[in-house]
Amino acid sequence: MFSRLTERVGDFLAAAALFLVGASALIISRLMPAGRFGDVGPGFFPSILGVVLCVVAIALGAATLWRRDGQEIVAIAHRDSWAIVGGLLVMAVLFSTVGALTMIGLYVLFLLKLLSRLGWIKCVVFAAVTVAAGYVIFDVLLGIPLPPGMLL
Amino acid sequence: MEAVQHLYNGFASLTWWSVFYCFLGVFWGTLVGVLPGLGPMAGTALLLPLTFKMDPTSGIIMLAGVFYGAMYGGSTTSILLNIPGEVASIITCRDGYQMARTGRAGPALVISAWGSFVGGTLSIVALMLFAPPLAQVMLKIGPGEEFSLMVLAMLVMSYVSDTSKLKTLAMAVLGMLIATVGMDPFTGFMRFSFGYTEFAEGIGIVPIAIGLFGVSEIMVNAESVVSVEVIKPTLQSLLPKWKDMKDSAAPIARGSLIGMVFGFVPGISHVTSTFVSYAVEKRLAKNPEEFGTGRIEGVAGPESANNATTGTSLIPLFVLGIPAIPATALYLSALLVHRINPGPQLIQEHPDVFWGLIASMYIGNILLLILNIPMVGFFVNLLRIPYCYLVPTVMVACICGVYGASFKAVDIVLMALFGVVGYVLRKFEFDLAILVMGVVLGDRIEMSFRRAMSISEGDLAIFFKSGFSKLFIIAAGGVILLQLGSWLLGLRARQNGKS
Repeated sequence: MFSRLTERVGDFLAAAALFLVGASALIISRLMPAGRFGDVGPGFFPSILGVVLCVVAIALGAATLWRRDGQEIVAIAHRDSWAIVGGLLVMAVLFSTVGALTMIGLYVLFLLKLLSRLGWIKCVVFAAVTVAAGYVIFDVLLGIPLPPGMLL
Repeated sequence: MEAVQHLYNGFASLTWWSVFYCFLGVFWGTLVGVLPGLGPMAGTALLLPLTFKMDPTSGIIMLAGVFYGAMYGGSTTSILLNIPGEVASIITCRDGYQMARTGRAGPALVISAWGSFVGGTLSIVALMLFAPPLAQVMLKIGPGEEFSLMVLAMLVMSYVSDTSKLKTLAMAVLGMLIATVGMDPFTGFMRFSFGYTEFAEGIGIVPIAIGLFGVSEIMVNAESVVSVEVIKPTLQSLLPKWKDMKDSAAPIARGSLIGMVFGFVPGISHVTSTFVSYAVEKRLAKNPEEFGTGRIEGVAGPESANNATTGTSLIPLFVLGIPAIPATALYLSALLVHRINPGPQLIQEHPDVFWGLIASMYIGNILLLILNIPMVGFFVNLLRIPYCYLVPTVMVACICGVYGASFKAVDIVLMALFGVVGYVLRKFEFDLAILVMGVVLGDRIEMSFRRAMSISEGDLAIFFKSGFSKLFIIAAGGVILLQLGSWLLGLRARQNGKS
């Protein structure tokens, strides 16, 4: 939907998103005990930050509306960029249940097929070597136990 | 004399493992400096989880090595490819690449490495001499002064940032807001955790930093993979002529001095210092019009300046507990994980960490001189690694590193999400470094405010009582006035332009 935005529209949308974050923080922190000045509660600081973020976001939005420049097109929808992070999210969700090494291997394979024109055999070999290197460095040498999950 | 004794103890406290980690840091730093699209921030963030398993001295030695190693490595690609491997090397492209095109890549690389060595070494001497006495003075500050000081630091960093001031401020506040997630250390109340116990300890700095700087950089680079043509110097051509050495001696001295002074300024000191040094050299030159055509002074000055900031930029961290540059925000996290509180008490309570780091920096600079002159061919060859192999390797390091820092798979999800946030924010020129600073300092700003309020029983005058506090508040007011002034001037200029 927002694949190619002008800088101005992007800035305005960013200001709106920041306002939403600030307003949400303010609303949620109002439900926390604010305390009093001599005994400041957990809700006090987030409320202040929420207010400041809302004010800054409004100022940013207003400044964006005011400006005449910023018509340059900013592309934010490159297929490979989103595929890299999409694959990462899927991998992360299944990391513990399926198994760290299996998921890392599949993710490396996915990245290779996405970014190169290598054949399947070369991709599988590189993925296997990367997983083995990751296992040796992190699990064996650094003592970071990767979750085995259902597979490995 | 006392400093020399401490330095001796620092060298004595180093083990072979510390030296190995120092080598690992500077080697990795040179690598991230050489490889375009993987900056020192991402490089430091990637190694951060590994430090949690080490002793604090080795951890900080390795992280510091990445930063000053990247300063050395960044110049290699600037000279040979006209691509700055690191933002501080942008200005080196101008004359360095022109020298390479005319067959003088060798002298440019050697003088750049020598200037980096001199600047870096002088900067460590400054760190060694200035940090301990300044820390003694700063030991007297209480929570009221600490709060004012950190607010001042955030304001200064927002002011010197080269993006829109409003965007920078928004990033600082957003970072501080992210820092409030998790259990309130005063009352145990859960904030913004939405019932998920995974967020009880808050959002770790590792998924945030790796997501914002590592994943988002990979996303940006995936858009346009450029193939590069490398100018490869031979070993014989590396030797500079006597004239090159003579012409670069004064620029190296001036660049080192400029870098050391700029290192004290929080924000983007290492970048600014290079531009200032270049401008000074151009102004002092007999034929300034020759700058940009391959003058050795245009390489020697800026390269000495960016390395001369590396030591002095650590002074605010050790004296005030405030990271002056984004990479040092990650050192702060590494220290906090080991329950070492960065600040004026660190030098007294953990002299092994401070003096061990200083000793390692001397060793690291010598290692870098070796890595960057005879081994330049090796690093240049790394640029030939196809991008399709580099991405999976870096991503596996990101995944295992993030998981290893907390043993929580949810942190990998967070890293991916912060990667997306970083990618979009980069596109619209928001300063990600300020966001990380906000996350790192947010906790401490809140704690010092609440402690001060508790001590004064709610009397806001605590922030104006002591001389230090008054000084910090006046300085903060001055920065706000400067911000307003520059905004008004910009507004007036735009209106004049319109009319």
